[in-house]
Amino acid sequence: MLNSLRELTAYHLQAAIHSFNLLILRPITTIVTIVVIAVALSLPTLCWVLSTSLNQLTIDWQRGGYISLYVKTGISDVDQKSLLDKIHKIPGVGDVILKTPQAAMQELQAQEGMHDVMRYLSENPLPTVIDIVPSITLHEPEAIEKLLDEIKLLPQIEQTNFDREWVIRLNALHGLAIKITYILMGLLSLCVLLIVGNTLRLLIHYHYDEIRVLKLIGATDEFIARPLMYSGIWYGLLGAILAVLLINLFMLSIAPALQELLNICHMRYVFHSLSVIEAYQIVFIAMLLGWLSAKLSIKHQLSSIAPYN
Amino acid sequence: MIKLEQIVKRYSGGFEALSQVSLNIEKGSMVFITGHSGAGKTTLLKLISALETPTSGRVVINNQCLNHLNKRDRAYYRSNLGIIFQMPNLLNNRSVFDNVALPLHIHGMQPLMIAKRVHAALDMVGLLDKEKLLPIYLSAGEQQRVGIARAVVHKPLLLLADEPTGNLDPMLSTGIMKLFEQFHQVGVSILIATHDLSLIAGMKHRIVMLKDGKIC
Repeated sequence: MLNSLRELTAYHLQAAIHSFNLLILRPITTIVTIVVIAVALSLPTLCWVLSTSLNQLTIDWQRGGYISLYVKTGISDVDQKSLLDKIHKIPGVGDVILKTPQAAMQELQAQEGMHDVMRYLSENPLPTVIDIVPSITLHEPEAIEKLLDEIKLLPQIEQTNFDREWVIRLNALHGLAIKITYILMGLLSLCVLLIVGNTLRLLIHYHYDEIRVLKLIGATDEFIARPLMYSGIWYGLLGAILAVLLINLFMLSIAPALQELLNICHMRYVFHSLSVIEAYQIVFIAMLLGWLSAKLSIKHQLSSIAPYN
Repeated sequence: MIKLEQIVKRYSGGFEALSQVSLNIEKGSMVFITGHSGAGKTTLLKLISALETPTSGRVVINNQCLNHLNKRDRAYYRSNLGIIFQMPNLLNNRSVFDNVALPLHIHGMQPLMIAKRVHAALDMVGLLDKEKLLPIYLSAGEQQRVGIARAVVHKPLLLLADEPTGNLDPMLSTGIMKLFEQFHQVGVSILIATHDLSLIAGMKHRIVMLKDGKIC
């Protein structure tokens, strides 16, 4: 058992090394293929990285879509505090910010030209306002609406204000971006499949005579296919490594410009390049694609080659 | 060892390469198959090496009928044969050593064992000092000997050779035949197709004569 396992490992190791040597034998073809695979992998990965960043941003932006609650006048401080606690406990509520009439008045007075206007008012007409930031888990406008309905039931609340349109628009945009990313990912994964498949088809064509001789002396299709399968995996691996480098280079080069744009928009968000786990994921997916492509393209072609006779 | 029963091989287009051929070859014997080109020698060897299937009749090798083997089993069966051709069919991008080692790789043998066997086979054909060369740097006779080393490296019980001396001058041809004699002496069954009657005249082995697809 152990011996046959060792034999099998030696067998695969030999096929892997042999297939790597095959790639090195034709460096230009190999490099071109790897670059094409890397570009095909980079595009959907970039979309993926940007869409996860966008996801973070929308959470940030959603804070613009907070719910304002206007509290009825004449409620004591103690009642106000218990109200705050009650709101805090409602599921879906992220942050709760209390804005007293005094604070709101000060804010207003601070604005240019308002100071004089405020002086004509005999008393502070502003109500107590509670701003609710929906929790991060709430993305859908419907979920926020549901939360809103729940809050409306509180007797101390006079009126609520929620910029529904804004959240809906933001979600629609975000949804579109995610959909485009998925479609791009699908299309470009197909691209990788076709590129590797086509390269392997050419490789088989190039080694046509060799394959016929191997078949003649009794090699099964599986034996002949093994190094080619490894070629597919090598292409995936090398293409993915290059893709990770390209993406990080791209992210680094646009990071300052993006940061500036975000600063202008008063948003705090640090754009990051690929994490180690994400890089591993890309490499794994690419190797899987290379293997799958080899499996799909080789079998039929090999079985159509007759042994030398 | 080899049993052909009423073999008919008809190719698409109607050409009958073999008609009603029956043949029995004992284990450990060395047999020549002769005849003009087109007599059916190569077809016979292709049937025995499971590269072709008969139109009718049965091919039985070592009590195993080849007629209904699937593709995988045919490959496996072939991997246990030694096959030699007029053209040595070597892989020109691999060294002599790697060429000879191919059947052992197919059998999944350990690298150390492979080296031992390949060296023994190359020693037998007198090419041990050329193991690192690519086949294109060898002469025609040497290439054929590499082909023979590849055919015997995995110690097959049956060796098939189709015009193994077809491309060689008489002296080299005699040398190759002597090699086959050596294998025969260690118990390998050998079937050699050749049209060179003068080469085999002096050898005391069974000769099967084919004419227009029939044994005569």
